[in-house]
Amino acid sequence: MDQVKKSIIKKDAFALISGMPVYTDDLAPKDALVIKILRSPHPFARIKNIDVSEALKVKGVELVLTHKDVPRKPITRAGQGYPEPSPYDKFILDEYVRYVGDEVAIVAAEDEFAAEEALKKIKVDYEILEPVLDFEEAECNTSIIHPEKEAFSQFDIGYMPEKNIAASYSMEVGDVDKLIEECEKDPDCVLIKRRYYTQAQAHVMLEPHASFAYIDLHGRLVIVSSTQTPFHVRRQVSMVLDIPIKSIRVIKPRIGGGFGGKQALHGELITALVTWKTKKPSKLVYTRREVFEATYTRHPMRFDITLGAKKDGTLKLIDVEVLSDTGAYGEHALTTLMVAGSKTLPLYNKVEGVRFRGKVVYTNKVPAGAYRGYGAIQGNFVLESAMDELAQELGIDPVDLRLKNVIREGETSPIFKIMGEGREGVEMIVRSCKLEEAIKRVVELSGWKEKRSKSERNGSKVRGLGFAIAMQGSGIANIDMASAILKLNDDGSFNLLVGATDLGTGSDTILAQIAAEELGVSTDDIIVYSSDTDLTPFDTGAYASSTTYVSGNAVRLAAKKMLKLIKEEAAKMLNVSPDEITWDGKVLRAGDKEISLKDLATKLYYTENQKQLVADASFVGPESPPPYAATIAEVEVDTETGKVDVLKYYTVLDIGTPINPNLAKVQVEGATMQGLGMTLYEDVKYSGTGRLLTNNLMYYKIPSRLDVPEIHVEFLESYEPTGPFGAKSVAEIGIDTPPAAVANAIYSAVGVRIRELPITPEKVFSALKGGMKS
Amino acid sequence: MIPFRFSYHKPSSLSEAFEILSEDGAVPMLGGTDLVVKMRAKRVTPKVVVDLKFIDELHNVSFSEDEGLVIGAAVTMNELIEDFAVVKERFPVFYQAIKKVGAYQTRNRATVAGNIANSSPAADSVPPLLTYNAKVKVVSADGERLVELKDFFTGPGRNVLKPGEIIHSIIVPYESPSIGMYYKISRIKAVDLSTIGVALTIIDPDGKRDIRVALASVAPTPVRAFKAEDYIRDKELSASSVERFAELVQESTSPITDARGSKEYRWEMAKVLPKRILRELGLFEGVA
Ligand SMILES: Cc1cc2nc3c(=O)[nH]c(=O)nc-3n(C[C@H](O)[C@H](O)[C@H](O)COP(=O)(O)OP(=O)(O)OC[C@H]3O[C@@H](n4cnc5c(N)ncnc54)[C@H](O)[C@@H]3O)c2cc1C
Repeated sequence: MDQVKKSIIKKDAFALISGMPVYTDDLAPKDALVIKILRSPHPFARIKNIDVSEALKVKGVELVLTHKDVPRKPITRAGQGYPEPSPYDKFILDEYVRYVGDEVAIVAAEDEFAAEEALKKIKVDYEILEPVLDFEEAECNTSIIHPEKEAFSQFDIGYMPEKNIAASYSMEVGDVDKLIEECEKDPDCVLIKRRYYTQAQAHVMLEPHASFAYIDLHGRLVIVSSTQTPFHVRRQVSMVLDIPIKSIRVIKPRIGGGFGGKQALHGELITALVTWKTKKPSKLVYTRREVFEATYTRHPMRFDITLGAKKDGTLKLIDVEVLSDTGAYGEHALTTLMVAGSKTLPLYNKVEGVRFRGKVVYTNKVPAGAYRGYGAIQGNFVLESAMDELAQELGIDPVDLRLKNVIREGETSPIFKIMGEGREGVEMIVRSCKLEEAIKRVVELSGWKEKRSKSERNGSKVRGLGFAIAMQGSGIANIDMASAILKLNDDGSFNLLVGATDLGTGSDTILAQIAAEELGVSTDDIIVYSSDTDLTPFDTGAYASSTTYVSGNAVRLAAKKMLKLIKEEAAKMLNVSPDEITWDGKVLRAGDKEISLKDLATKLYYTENQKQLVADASFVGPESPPPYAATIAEVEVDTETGKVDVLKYYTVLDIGTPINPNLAKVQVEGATMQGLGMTLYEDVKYSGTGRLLTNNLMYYKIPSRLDVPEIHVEFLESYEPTGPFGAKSVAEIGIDTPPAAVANAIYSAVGVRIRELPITPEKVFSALKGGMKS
Repeated sequence: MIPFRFSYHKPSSLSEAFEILSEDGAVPMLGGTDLVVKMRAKRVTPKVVVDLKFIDELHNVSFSEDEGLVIGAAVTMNELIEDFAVVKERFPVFYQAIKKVGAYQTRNRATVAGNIANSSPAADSVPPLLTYNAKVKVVSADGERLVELKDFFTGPGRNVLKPGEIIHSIIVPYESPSIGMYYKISRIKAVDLSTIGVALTIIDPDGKRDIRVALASVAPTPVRAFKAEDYIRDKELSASSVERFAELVQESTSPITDARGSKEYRWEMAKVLPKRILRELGLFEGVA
């Protein structure tokens, strides 16, 4: 292996750091109509009347659209494979507005000034309805958020709009009630029941949501968008606007971060609509405030968890009940719920009983959607905090409790089969699982044993270590499909065409490395073009930690075919049989005959056996092999202020073969910081009237450079037989452990258990002092 | 971008500035780190922006024991603390507070005058300046006046400046050597406003030992805790006197809940931090 397991610099790195115009807004035609959206100031209201006549009079205004002007067709903007496991409960514009920020009207004008002016002149008469702002009171509330008859779900997802339920799910292995009952009576058994909460984290990708559209010379609609899912965008735009798929092209340029926030459609439907109506180019770039108030957040969740174990630490049962808040629309409602179980529970595969149930409710708040971790981070915080609490209760070292119960290589879990994403999963044996090794290694790296045995106090500051483990997946088994095309050029280089979507992750580079490794050439000779629905083959998109594993497998298969074609053509030229051909990356040989790849390619183009060599392949993951992580966080808690500082953060992972160790490492570091942001800082606050208060970067705080602890990332030797060159995924696994590792460390330092994220100084202070007087 | 039209001027003299500032909807600007942010968010929508950075006179900094430190309005925070060692040597608490404003990049543009003129209760440079009895020199086409900083603020974002008046410079009298600390609690370590900021300055620590305290983000304006100062003057720093002192500091505040923190937490910290600073200065042993 010389092209993989190699820290090659990202193919687009230089262009990005030298500020070349590569992002959507940089590329938009200068004469594009500027789109602005009038958004609802009310959490729940019906538009009684809307008058745009004054707005239309503003000089430079081209178009104003309200719900009366757009097709009333329900959709889901989720950006998932079809049929989606999310309810079709959203309209481009609707008579009802369901949260502060919901779209009321669309203005397109010559420039931003005219568009802003027009927004002010739209007169809306609202009938204000009673909003549902507390998700614990949403179910069966007298206010029904989706009373419309048109909304529906593609298949059974437990959708009950009359009860404000967007999705629901339940599963059980063994008889959990009976096990709980037995445990309660058994003096040799310990049972803990706890309630936890997680918050609606914001993605805060640097580039806001942006898209533009224009009509090409054939009258087709071209949409350029900062999207993670160009093919889903094409399909959904086609469906809602009744434009044939063949008349739409979607292109993704470079993206300044997505983290799941750009899996969904947030502006594309609108730019498409404006351009289709006016036949003029148009663009929509969200303001930061709009990104906060009117895109997606992570699903806030409430968990009730019960764990039962024997006194010797043998885990007997896990029972989890979830209430999740999807906000105004049900995108990703079911799947994030299920992932909270499916990507955590298999960690402890030896239990006698496991149950997972939950409901996802609508509220009149910013909709929730996909976000790195996707339910797993929420579930992991709860399971791994509860395991720590159980260890405490049992008087067992939390590490030993894990070692006694975790899943190991060659084992399976019934959860894999029962819980997929939105439907049944697949049976799977974990072929690569170095979790036990990861645990042992992180214990050693962090000095866990020595440090846990003595508590370190320095004035008002106390240190503590906390431990957590995690798993994730690699794509969605049997659903996510990726494909790749390789084309030989006359200089012996290759074009690699992939639908896969590099959103800053470096996947273009990684896929080129995989192709190069299989072909035996240098990564420099692979020219990648990705994410253009006209020119690149299909890919579901960049989500669910799928690209390296799913798209990478497709690339590898295509490269294999290409190499076979090359050898066949060389054999013809050299008059030998293909299996006599040897190949060293430059020259094809058979005995004393030889031809360089460049000569072969030139001949194929111009003189002999003329043809274009093209190879393609598709791949659907029959399984979704989990990567694993074991993490120890060392924190310092200031007992006088409640401030928590993460000093050191050790994480050891099994991601199979890291195709590009440097890119893999920065994925883990970035995920760690996002996880720490959710753990400690990223507080989401609403006003009593349902307005998001934390709607800019002064109010909503993500960690700064100075908040980065000493992070140690280590990858274990591991090889996933079903992955390309042994690779699994790395994109999400790093975000899962920070919340529990830090919460457990705080407990170990000062003996207070915070069960509600984020763990702000106020909560720690209040817990330490037994409350604050108000 | 800034979603409305306005004109931008950069006068090179005060008289020119006064003339443009007399236009309808004109506002002055220095670093723009408050103003431009607010304009982008449409929280202020001036018709005319008058950039004062190009007026030489506003870039002066001088120090003498008699006249004190005089800081021209257009001097950036980084210039002030990097080019004038006197700030760190003679006004250490002020120096510490400036270093806690935003991030380095912010301080490349931000000015102390802008921090004062913006009149946010969270202005970090203000509490130490209050403890040093700073004054604000205000000028207009009609002349000039000197305002005590403690009398400058009238509410969140509000102050005594009349239309046409601008801050010319800040004068920080020098009394004697001082020690102290600016303790800022913010959610993250950089680029964050204070949840609470406490400046505790001890003027003439080895002589008359005058302990002064002022706070940010705990009241509609930055506040100085005169009652607490009066109480502790000439008293020995014992557990009980420090406790009472801290309580009086706390009582000088009237915090509210906002996106950065709750009123309860601010209230608690208003008592914890003065004690803690005294302890960290080595003047008192005990828990805060
Ligand atoms: C990223 C970031 C982080 C920040 N962090 C902090 C922080 O930690 N602590 C903190 O205190 N502040 C912080 N701020 C706020 C800001 O940087 C400070 O208040 C700064 O001191 C303002 O100075 P300026 O020169 O940029 O003022 P400007 O923005 O130019 O002006 C501020 C206000 O004063 C008016 N004004 C300007 N000049 C004059 C004058 N000569 N006379 C009268 N009025 C005038 C303007 O019209 C405006 O209303 C932060 C800002 C940003 C963008």
